[in-house]
Amino acid sequence: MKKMIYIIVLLISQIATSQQFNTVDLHNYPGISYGDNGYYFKDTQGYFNQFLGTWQYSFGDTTIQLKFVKKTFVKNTSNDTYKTDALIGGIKIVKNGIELVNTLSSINNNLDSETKYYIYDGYRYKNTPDCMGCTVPNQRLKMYYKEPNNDNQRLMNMYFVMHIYKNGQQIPTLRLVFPRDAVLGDPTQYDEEVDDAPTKTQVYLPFGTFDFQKVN
Amino acid sequence: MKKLLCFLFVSSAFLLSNCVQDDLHKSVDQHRHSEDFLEGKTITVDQETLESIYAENENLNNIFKNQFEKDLSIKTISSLGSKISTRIDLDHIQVFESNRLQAITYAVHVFDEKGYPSKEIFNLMYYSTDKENYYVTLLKYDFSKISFQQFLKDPSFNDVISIYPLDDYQDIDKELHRSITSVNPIYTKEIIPLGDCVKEVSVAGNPCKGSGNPKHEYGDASCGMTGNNRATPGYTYMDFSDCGKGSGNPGGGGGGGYSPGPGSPGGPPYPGGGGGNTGGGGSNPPIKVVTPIKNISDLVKSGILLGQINIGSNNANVKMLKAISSHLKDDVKSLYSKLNEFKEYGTAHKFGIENGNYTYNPSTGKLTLPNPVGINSKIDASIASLAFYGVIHTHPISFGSSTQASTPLFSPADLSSIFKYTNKSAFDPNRKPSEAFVGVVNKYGMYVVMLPNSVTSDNIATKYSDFVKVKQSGNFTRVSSDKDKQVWIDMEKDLLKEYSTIENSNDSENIKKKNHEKALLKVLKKHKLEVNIYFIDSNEGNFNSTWQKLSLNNNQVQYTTIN
Repeated sequence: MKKMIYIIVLLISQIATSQQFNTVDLHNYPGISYGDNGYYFKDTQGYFNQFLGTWQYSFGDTTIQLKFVKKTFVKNTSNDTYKTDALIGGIKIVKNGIELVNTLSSINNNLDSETKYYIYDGYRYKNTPDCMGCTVPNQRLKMYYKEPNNDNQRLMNMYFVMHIYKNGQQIPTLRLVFPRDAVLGDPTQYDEEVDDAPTKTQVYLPFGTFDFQKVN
Repeated sequence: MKKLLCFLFVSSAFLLSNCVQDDLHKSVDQHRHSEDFLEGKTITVDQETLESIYAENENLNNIFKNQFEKDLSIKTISSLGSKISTRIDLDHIQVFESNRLQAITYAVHVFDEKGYPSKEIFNLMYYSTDKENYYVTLLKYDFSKISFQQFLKDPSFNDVISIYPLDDYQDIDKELHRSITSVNPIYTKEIIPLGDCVKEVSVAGNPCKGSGNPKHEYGDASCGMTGNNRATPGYTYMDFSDCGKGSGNPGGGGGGGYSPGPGSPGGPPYPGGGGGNTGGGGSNPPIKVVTPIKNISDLVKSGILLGQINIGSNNANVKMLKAISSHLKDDVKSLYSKLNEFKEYGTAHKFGIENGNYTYNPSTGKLTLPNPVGINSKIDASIASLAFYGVIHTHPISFGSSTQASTPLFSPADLSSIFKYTNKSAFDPNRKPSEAFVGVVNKYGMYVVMLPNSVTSDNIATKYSDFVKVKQSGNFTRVSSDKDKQVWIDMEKDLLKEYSTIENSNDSENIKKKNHEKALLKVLKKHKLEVNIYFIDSNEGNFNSTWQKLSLNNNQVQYTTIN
C-alpha cells in the first residue's frame, strides 16, 4: 500500500512539473506567433525528413558534404516556454585535398538551442516559379549558416536556400543556393570607427547553385 | 515677504515630497489638497492642440492670437553689448487644469550669442482662477547651486526661484527680453543634468468606440461618436515621480559670473517700472482689472508653481523626429518613389545645432549610401562616419529575387545598426544616444527606431551589454552592435520567420501592416531590446501626417500620437 501511494505521488508530481504543450505545425501556425508560451512547434507533416542524412556535391577539385538531423528543443525566455523541432546541419568543404571547414561532428553536440549550431532551419520560402515547380510541402527552406572561428561582422547570420527535387533519373537531389546577398557586405572591408580588423575575410562555401546527391 | 515665501515653501515641501511630484505630473490622476487647490490634472500639448482645447475660451484665444500667432521661433536682442536669443517652446506646453486654477506654462529657451543655453530654466506662465482673467509671469529657476532633484526634495532652498510678473498688454517678446536681460542668465555648454529621475511618459489615445472595424483613430473624421465614445488623442507628459527620492545626485555644478537678479521672489520690480531694484514685498500687480489671485504667494502656496516647472521637451526622440519631418521630407519622398525598384536605397544624415534647434544643410548633411558590390538587397552604411545621426533606407516591394525576400519592417541588421550613431566623437562631443535614428521607408510609410531618452553615453554599454561591443578610441569609448552575440542570432530567426509568415498570408495589407508591427514589438520584447519604434504614414507619398509611437498593450499594437 505504501508503495502504491509512493508511485501515485511520484506520478502526480511528474505530471505537475512537466510542461504541457499545445502542438501546432511548425510551418503553419495561424493566430499565434512563433515562440508563444506553451506551444510545441512540431514538424507535423515530416517536411524536414526529406533532408535528413548525408549529401555530397563534387565538381572539379571541390567536394562539399552536408549532413542533417532533426532535433527538438525546449526553450525558455524571460516569460515564455515553448518547444520546437529544428533541422540541424553540419558541413565539410574540401578543396584540392585540403579540408577548409568541417562541422559535421557538431550536429552530435547537445546544445540548448538550434541557433547555436552551425547550420539550422530558418523558415519555409514561398513557392516561386524558379523553384522548379516544387509544390507544398516540397517548398524551399531557408537555412542559417555560419563558419567556425568567424570574427567578421559581415559574415554573421549568413544563409542558404535549399529544396529537394528529382532529377532526370528520378534520383532525389538537394539543390542549395548560396546567394551573394547572404553576406552583409564585402568581407574584406570593415567599419574602422567601431570594429577591429577581422582575421576571417572569406567564406569557404562558394556562392552559387549546387546539386547534392544523397550518400548516406 | 521672503520669510513668508520661505515658510510657504517649507509648508509645501511636505506636499511636494508626498504628492506633488507623484501626482501633479500624472496627467490623469486626481488628487486633493487641504485647500482644494490641487484637484486637477496636468497635460503636455503643443500650441496647436492647446488652441483647439481652449477654442471656446475667448480670453485665452485673444492671448494666443495676440502673443503666439507670430513667428516665435528665435528672437535675438542686444543688451549691454551682448546678444541673447530666446525661443518659446510651442511643442511642449504644460497645462494644469482644476476647478479653481488653470496654469499654462511655456518653457522659454535662452541662449547667449554663441548659442550656449542658459543654465537656468525660464518659464512663461499664464494662470487664472476663473478662466476669464489671466496673469502672466516669467519664472526663473536657478539650478546653479543645487540640482533639480535636490530642489524638488527641498523646495525651501533659497535663491532658486525668481518671479517676474509681465505685462500682457505689451508684446510678450519684448517683455521676455526685458526681464531676461535684467537677470543675467548663466550660460553653459552642458545641458542641465536632470538625471534619470525625469521620465517622458506617453499615454496612448483611445480609438473611436463605434461599431465599425477597423476602429478609427483620433484625427480620422470617420468617427461619428461623441462624448466618452469619441476617439481621443494620445499625449506625453513629464513624470517627476522618481525625483527627490533617495539621497539625490550632486548639484548641477556652479556657474560662473552669476550676479543676483533684481528682486527676490515675491517682490520683483515691475517690468517697465524702470528698474532692477531689489524688491521687498510687493504684490503681483494685477494685469487685468479683476484680481483673482490676491498675490503671487497664493500661486506659490497652491503648489502649482513648483509643480509646473516646464523644462521643455526632454524628449530627444521627438525633437529628432520633428527634425526628420521638417528637414528630410524631400529625401523621404524621394526614397518612397523608388520602392518599386529591386534594390535598397539609403542616405545618411547629419545636423547642426543652433540655439537648441537642429539645422540641416543638404549639401553637407546628406550622404548617399551605396549598395555593396553585387548585393542590391543591402546598403553599406559603414561609410557614414560618426558625425551622422542616422540613416534612412528603403525596403522595396520586392527584390525580384527568388532567394531574397523583402520585408516591410526592420530586420535585425537594421535594428543593430543604430548603435553606431549613438557615439560621441570629435565631430559631436555632445551626442545623446537617443538622438540616433534608423529609418525604413516602405509601402506603408516610414518607421524609425531610436533608443529611449533614458539611455546615456554612460549607461549604454551596460544597459545593452547583451547586444553591443565596446571599443576604446582615443578619449572616446565607442559602442556598436556585436552581431556575434547570441541575442542577435536568435532574433534573426524569430523575426524573419514571423515576417515571412505574415507576408505570405492572404490577409489584407492593412492587417498585414498591423501584424508586422505586432511581430516586431513582440520579438523586441522577447529579446529585451529596449528601443522605441515610431511610424509616420506615407499619406500617398506626402508624409505630412503625425508621428505615432508604437507599443504593445494586451498583445495588441497601440499607437500614441507624438506632439
